[in-house]
Amino acid sequence: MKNPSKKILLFLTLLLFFLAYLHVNNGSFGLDFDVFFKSIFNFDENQQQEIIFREIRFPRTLMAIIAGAGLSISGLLLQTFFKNPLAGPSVLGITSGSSLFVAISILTGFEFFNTDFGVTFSALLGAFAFSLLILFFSYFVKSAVSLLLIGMMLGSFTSAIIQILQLTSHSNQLKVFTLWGFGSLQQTNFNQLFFIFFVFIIGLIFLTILIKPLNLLVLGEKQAQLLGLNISSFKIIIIAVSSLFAGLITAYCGPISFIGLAVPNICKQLFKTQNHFILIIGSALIGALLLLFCDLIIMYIEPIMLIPLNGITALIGAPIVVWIILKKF
Amino acid sequence: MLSFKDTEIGFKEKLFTIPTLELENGKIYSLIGKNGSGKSTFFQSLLGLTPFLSGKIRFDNLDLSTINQLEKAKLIAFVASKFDGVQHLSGRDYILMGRSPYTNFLGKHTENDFQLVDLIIQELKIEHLAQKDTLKMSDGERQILSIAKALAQECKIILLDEPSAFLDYANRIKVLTLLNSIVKEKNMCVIQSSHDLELCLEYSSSFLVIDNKSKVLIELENKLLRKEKLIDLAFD
Repeated sequence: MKNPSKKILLFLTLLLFFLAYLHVNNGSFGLDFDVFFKSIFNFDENQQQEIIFREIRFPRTLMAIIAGAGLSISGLLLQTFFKNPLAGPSVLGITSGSSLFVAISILTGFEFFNTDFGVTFSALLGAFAFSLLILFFSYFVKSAVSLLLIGMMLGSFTSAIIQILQLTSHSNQLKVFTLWGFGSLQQTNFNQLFFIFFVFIIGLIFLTILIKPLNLLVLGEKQAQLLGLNISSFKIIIIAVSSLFAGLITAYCGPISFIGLAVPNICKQLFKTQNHFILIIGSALIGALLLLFCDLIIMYIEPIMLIPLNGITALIGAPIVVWIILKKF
Repeated sequence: MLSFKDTEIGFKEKLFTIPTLELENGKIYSLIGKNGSGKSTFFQSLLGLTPFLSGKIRFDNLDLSTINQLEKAKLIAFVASKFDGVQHLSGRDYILMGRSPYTNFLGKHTENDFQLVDLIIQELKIEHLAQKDTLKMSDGERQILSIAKALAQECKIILLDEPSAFLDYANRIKVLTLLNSIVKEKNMCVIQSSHDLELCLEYSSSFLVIDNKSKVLIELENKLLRKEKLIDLAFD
C-alpha cells in the first residue's frame, strides 16, 4: 500500500471517530462514556439516560455508519462490475427492487412479513432479483448510459406499482410504509442491531475474496478471464454481495439515494488508485462519514424544520453526480 | 511448441482448416487474412474463449482443450489491438496485473512479483511510464505496456490482435522491434495478426496465410515471399 493512502485512511478513521462522537453526543444531555458503555454492556432499564443511549442514540449512530459504509461498498462493486462511474444501487433500480418487495410485504399484511426477518428477507430478495434483472439487461445494451436509463425505468415502474398498492392498503400499513420510504436512521432499535451487524460482517467477509476479481475486472471481463479468473462464478458473488448490502440497509433505513453513487467517485479522486483493497476501505469510511454528516445536519436544524434523510443526501449528492457527468461523459 | 492437426476453426460455421502446422519458439508469425476470415476466432480458440470445431491443438504434448483457464494464462498471453487506459491505474500497476495467474486468492503480490515487473520495466526502458496514469498515455505507450503485461505473465506464447492498427508509423516500428528482441532473448513464440504487409515482411519470420479460395491456413517462410504473392493468396 502506498504511504499517502495509509495516511489518508488514518485521517478518515480519526475523522469518523470525531463525527461519531458528535453524533452520539447530540441531544438534551451530553455524552458520558461511563453511562454510554453501561447502557450497552450493563443495561439498567431504570436509568433514563441509559435508555436513551441504548434505544435511540447508539442505534442511530451505528446505523449511520453501517448504512453509509454498506451503500458505498455496494455502489463501488456495481461501478467496477458494470464499468460505469454512474452506477449505484439506487440508479440501477436495485433499491427500487427492495422497496417493491418491502411494499408488497408491509402493505399486503402477511403475518410473516411483519417480522424483522420478514422485511429484511424481502428487501434482500428484491435487491437480488432486480440486480439479476439489470445483469440480464446488461447483456443486451452496449452503452453505459442505456443501462442507467433502464435502471431508472425499473424505478418508475416499481413506484407505480407501489402507488397502486398504497391505494388499496390500510391506513396503518400505509403510515408504516410511507415513513419507511422517507429514509431514516431512527427506525432501528438496539435488539435489531445484532442481526444487522451480523449480516454486515458476512458481507465484509465475502468482500475479501472479491478484491482480486474486482481489480482484474477493471480491465474488462475478457481480459480478466484471460488472466485466469473464473468470471462466471465471481459475477454472481459480486451481484449477491452488492445486493446484500443494498438490501440490508434498505430494509432498515428505507431507500437512501446518492450515497452509493457519489462516494466511490469521491474515493477514487481522493486515493487515485484502482486497488480495490484501498477503495473498499476508503469508500466504507467516506460513506460512513458522509451519512453521519448528513444526519448531523438533520439533527442540528431539527428545531427549525424536519428534513427527511433523502432530502439531505440528494442536496449533497446531486451536484456531485453532475460533476462526475461533466468530467467523464 | 504449438501443433495443429486437422483443426477446424470457426464459430458455429467453419471459417478455415489447418491441415497440419507446427509453430516453433523464437519466431514471429504474422497471421494474414481478409476481414472476417477468422483471424480473431483463431485467437479466441487458442485462448479457450470459443472452442474450435474439430481436430487437435497440442501444446508440447498436452491437449490444449484440457488445460484450464488459469494454467492457460501461464502459457498464452493476449494483447488486444487497443487498451483504452483506466483512470488512476498506473503503468506499473497495469503490468503487475500480468502476475495475477500466480497470486493467491487475495491477489497479494510477492517481492518476487515486484522484482520481475521492475526488471521488465527496465528491459523495455519504460521507467517514465511506471507511475504515469494509463488514461493519460498515448496509444503507442499503452501498447508497449500491454506487451510488458504479457511478459509479466511469464508465458510461452504471445498473441497480438492487430497490435499496430491504432499506431502511427514510428510506433509500429517500435512495437515490432520490441517483439523481435523479445522473441530472440526469451525464446518465445509470437503470433500477430496484421494488415500491414510491408512491415510484416520486414519483421516476421513466417507468415500464416488464410487462403481465401480454399479456406486453408498455410505457413509460408518469409525469405521466399513477395508482397504480391501474399495479396494474391489472402485477398485474391
